[in-house]
Amino acid sequence: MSQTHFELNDIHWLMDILQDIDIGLVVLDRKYRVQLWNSFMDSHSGISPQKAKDRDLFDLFPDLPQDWFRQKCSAVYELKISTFTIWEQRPYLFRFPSARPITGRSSFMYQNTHIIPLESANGSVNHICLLIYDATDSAILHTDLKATDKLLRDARKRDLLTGLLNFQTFQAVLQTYIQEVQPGSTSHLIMLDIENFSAYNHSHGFAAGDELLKKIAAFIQASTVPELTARLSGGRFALLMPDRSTSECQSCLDKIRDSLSNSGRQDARLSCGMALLSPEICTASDWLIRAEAYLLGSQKPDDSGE
Amino acid sequence: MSYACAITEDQRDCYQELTNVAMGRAAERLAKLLDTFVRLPVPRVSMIENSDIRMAIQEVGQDSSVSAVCQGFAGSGVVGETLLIFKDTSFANLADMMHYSGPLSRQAELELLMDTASILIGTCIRGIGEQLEIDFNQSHPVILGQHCQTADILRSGNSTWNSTLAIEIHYQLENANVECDLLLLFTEESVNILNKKIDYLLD
Repeated sequence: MSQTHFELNDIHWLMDILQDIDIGLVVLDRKYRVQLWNSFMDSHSGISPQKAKDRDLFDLFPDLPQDWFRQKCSAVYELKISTFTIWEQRPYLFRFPSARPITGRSSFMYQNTHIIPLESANGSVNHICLLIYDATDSAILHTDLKATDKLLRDARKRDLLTGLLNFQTFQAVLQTYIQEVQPGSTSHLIMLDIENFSAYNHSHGFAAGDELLKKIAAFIQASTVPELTARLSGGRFALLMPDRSTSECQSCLDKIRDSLSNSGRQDARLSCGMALLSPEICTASDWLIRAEAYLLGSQKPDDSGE
Repeated sequence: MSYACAITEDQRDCYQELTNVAMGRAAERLAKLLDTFVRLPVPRVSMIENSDIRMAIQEVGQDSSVSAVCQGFAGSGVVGETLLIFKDTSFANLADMMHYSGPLSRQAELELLMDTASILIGTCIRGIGEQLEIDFNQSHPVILGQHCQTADILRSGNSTWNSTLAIEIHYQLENANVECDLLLLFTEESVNILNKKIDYLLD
């Protein structure tokens, strides 16, 4: 007698625990009608167990993708195996508000689910149980981590001051371009240099020099494909111009120079070298050296001319 | 080479037989779902040191890109992890066989990966558990990577184990370009418990 009493108590405890556990518990029959609905489901959905009882799950949650869910459940019924879904597949099964609406940084609850077959006494499976886990924290952390990872990767590729590609990355971009470009395309590499940049730094201060670099970088980015522009070193920049004729490159350059002089920095001038990609150019260095030669050549007559 | 725990030849054969039975059941279920014949090779059973696990996994991918999912299991003091590694070239065929409609996006591949993982991992672990009278609990599956190199599956550093009992099963589908590897990895402590159970079976 006392033994039975103890077991009954056990069941009571168990029922209390199942009610209060911080995991959603739902039992469904073969027609997807709710047979059990614990207080986690009650609290987060606002649907009481009395209201949920015997209701079609798809009527209660019209957003639940029926075909997808039936397919997952059929594996549980037919193969008698548990199946799992994770938030990466589908953020949630049931749209519940986040359990931490203020600091949680998500408006809804990410969910992992575990669907298990419930065998009846004769060994057949006529019911399944859904376990719903709140996965919001790990989902948000995962998303944060990915964003940080991207940020770090990106930062390694870029010049910190201007946000343009740095020399190493640009060199790799050029190399790939040379290897993959269709023969016979007219592509140019433009190299720009702020004339007497060290003098500018001396007379205006380094902070003003940095400001000038940022301004020019912005003008360069606005004039062409931003992902093909780089700050190589000091006051030197480069632009890869795929399939652009000499005159198209010239007008791009004019745009940059106009923006610069319109910005009220008449004392800063850009000299330029432009090299067409030719069959003799096999490596990124070849191309850069050629553009640099044109750049240095352009500086002398300019300097003496004015 | 010496291990803190080791397995004898007899024990190895026994592990192999246990796995054969379990994976046979898993393959049967997969075959039922996909309506095709699943070819089963002999599972490879070996003790692997921490430093060699990468090599074992790399053999699976052999410089093609892969997607992988892992799932922990535990029961009666036996703890381990299963790794399911798919060659990415498998997904197109798999999608056809599982009647997935629509374009084969990363998302669709993830569904395929999870569905097959449920069947292969779940059945295999349960099959082994039933034979050893262990009721295994499975933790939630975790995606280790999609379209990555096998080298990226295991992040280096801070792993706390020295050696593991590895059971490797290479599943191949007949007449379809679908290949995947299922790795069952048991912790050293678990091997001692398992060995006792196995010795009991051998007696």
